[in-house]
Amino acid sequence: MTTPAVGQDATVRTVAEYIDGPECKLLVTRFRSPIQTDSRRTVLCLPPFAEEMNKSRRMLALQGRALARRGVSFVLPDVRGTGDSEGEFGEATWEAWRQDISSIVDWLRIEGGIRQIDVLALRSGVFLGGDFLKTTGIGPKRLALWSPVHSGRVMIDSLFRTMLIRGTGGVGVNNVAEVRERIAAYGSLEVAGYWLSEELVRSVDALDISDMQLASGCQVLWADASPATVDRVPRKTEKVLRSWASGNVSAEYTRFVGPQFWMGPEIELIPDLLEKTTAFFLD
Amino acid sequence: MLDEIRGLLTVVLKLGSRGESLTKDSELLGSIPELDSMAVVTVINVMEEQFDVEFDDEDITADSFATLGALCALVERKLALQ
Repeated sequence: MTTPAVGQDATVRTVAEYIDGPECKLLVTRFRSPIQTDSRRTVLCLPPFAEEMNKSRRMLALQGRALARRGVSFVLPDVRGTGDSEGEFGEATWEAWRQDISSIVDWLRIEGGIRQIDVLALRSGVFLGGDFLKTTGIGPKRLALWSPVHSGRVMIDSLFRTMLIRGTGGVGVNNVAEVRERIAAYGSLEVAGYWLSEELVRSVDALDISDMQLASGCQVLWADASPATVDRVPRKTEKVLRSWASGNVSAEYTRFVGPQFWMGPEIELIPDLLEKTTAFFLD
Repeated sequence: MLDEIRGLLTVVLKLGSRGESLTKDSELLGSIPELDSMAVVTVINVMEEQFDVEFDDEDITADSFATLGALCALVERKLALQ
């Protein structure tokens, strides 16, 4: 194993190391404090999809540092084919990524002696948790969701739409249905710099947050971030939270008026969201 | 509605005083440099959240984004369908 790279400020150590995933090496970055309040506990980040992750790295790193400064370690993984992990994005499927996360959970438990893993999921990251999210014991007692994606299909249609508006869909591609037809015909398509295989698109299409089950007793923070200034919980979110409540999952809905930092040309931040999330995990 | 959409565009596209002075007939797509393809998607996302509606492919046309009035009409149509 390569020597881990260590960065250091006054209180936080950032350690990046490669671990053995199910099929290739995965880069895991950990933010730790020398003064751990509980070394058996950590917060695992479930990252967003494709370019959203690149745009969000700074926000997530700041969250990691904020938690580590308060004695709670934070784990930021690159699933296969993303970031600095091995593997090809074009060969990934959602299930493969779930298995990567699963192997990281095992590694934390076995190598890291971790007994309890809380979760911060950004956007579609929530779907990377799989069965782990409803696992009691080592599974999350606290789950923070930042602007979770309701539907994988809607998320990926939005990506296709961007491509169409940019005029990069190719000749004869006029709408989302035709983009999908093209992917089916060719087996894959490059969208905004990422090779989307037909299998990956199919696995993303199947993602729906209303199918998600969490462990009884889990506490959820659902934090939507956007420039919209609504003062009510969106109906479809209300439905999900009600369904979770019937499974003894308590949820707090909150929203932050600010940039959708996982998109857009510039790296943007929402400091209040960091503060709220830190307080949530420390509670 | 005009005020809400004007406000939304001003914030999302960071238009400042240029945003405040938009009228019903003000041209959007092609006239506002900040309204590029990525920004169109962002505006759609934010409008969906703000008004709790869902837009389809057919809604997202150059015509819908031609003027502030056209964009408002689109949202009003969506709301009326609920």
